[in-house]
Amino acid sequence: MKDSAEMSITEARMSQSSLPRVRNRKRLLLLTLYLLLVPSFGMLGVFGYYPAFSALLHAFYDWHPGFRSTFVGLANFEQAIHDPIFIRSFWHVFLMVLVGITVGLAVPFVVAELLVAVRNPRVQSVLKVALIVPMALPGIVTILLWGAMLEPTQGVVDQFLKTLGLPHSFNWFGSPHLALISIMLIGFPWVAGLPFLLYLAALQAIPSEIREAAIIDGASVVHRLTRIDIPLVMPQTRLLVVLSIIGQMQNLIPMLLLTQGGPDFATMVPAGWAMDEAFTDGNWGYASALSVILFIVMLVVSVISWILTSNRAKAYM
Amino acid sequence: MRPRRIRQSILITVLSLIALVGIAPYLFMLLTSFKNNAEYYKSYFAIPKPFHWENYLLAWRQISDYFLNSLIVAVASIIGVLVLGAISSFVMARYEFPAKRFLYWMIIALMSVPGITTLIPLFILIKNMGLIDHRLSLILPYIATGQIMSIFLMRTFFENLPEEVFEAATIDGANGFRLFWNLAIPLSKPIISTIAMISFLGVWNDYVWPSVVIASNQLRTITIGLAFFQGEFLTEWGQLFAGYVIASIPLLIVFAFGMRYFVSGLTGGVVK
Repeated sequence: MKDSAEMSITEARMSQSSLPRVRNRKRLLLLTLYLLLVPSFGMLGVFGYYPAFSALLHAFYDWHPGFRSTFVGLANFEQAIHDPIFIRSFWHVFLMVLVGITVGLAVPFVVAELLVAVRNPRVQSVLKVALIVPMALPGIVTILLWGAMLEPTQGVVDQFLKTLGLPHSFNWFGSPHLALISIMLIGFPWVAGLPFLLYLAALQAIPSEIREAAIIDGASVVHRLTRIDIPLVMPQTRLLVVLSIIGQMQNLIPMLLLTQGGPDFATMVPAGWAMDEAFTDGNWGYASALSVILFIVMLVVSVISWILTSNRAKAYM
Repeated sequence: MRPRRIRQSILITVLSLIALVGIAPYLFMLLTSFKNNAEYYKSYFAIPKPFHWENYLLAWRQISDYFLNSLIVAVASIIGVLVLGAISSFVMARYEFPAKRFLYWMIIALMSVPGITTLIPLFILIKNMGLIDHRLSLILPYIATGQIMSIFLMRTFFENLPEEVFEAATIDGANGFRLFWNLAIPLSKPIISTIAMISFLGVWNDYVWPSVVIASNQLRTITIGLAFFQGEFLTEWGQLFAGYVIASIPLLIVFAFGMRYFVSGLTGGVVK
């Protein structure tokens, strides 16, 4: 700002003639700036910091909102580690995260690889739109739709399998063995989404000369993938792994809509169990403790995966 | 030349098939939305003989309130997110003042707190405020959490605006408000579109929070309405699916017009 000569001259004049006035104006400016931030921080304070703090605090209480709550120390946390359903729900979410960061990233990567290999640019962009269209539909519609398509025995998926002569007549969401798999099946073939968009953008950014040089040098596809493409998308993969962990651990809507965590808790996830404890059983303190545990686990897992992938990324460089 | 052409054809076929599998459920939804139950049970894939357009009329009658509720909540939230986000971002991007960095990181730190952790205390808070079963119970928390992403994106955008433009305007005697309103805001239309889109998506798709704070039928949002609609009219598949199609239209429109903003907003700057 001060490299403009005019500015510094006027500033110098002002400071010579009326130092106290300048100081007052500066103070006024500062006050205005802080006042302008008040609406944002007011909202964050009431609806962001306060609930977060309240969850942390009441995790140590037998919380009866509106009534006397008693401090119980670590009792809620002790109850949690002995709660078989809560432990089981973590196993379910672990499986969902595992599938999310393997299949959920590998499939979009492979499809993005296939798409960049298409030579005709117009065909390529048409295919791209066709592949990401499902993103433009409300998630709840997709979930309810899959719920209807996976109706036991007479649903459209079952009928389709029957027509193809494949095993059919599954009790998708009704069977404890199949319910979690059925939940993961929603959105098949899992291409439309952020991973695909990020991978595609990264692969499209590779200059075609590099690709062609590799082909001329006789590099095999596997070699090209492991030496050029996969190292290149490591930054995206790092981010996507963390986002996927956070997303899967909060993925609750399919269970709320289709299974209510059942049958026999086969699709219960920690977030759902915390909600059940709070809104169904009124165990507000215990539910707070569960959600705090969930937060800590998410944070720890995210940080660990971030560190692990960073070492991998460096090894590739 | 020839083997390459064959390879390209195979590639395009495979990709088309993958795309088709992804789109098929929605085509099935569209097809079914024009059928009555008899036709639906006779064959899932047959084209309905007369198209039952009345399904849409009946579905609209059932969900129009929910649809409008979501629209009201979305518009109010977007305005709030943009106004608060723009003011705070401008202050943090263009001025120096004590504790600026600290305040910025205080906002960003909230990004790491998952919604599920604050859900229960937030519910108690809303209940104590007497806002249960009121639109504000949706709008206020949406604004509060939505502005975080808004500040995150807009602050960077404002910081990267060319310095010379602001200097020139300052010399011409423009005050801070003029710099904000006549300069920064018109220049940031792309980022405003991105934020508006992401906010709209968030509100239109949210299910968990409204299912907790909204009790009365006339205030239900579209997601709650659809889930409820499914329970009520399970027997009429055509109407049900017509309702799903109607509920999808706003997002489809937003994506059709703003896909570029959306993709650039999500991908740009995130990984560089």
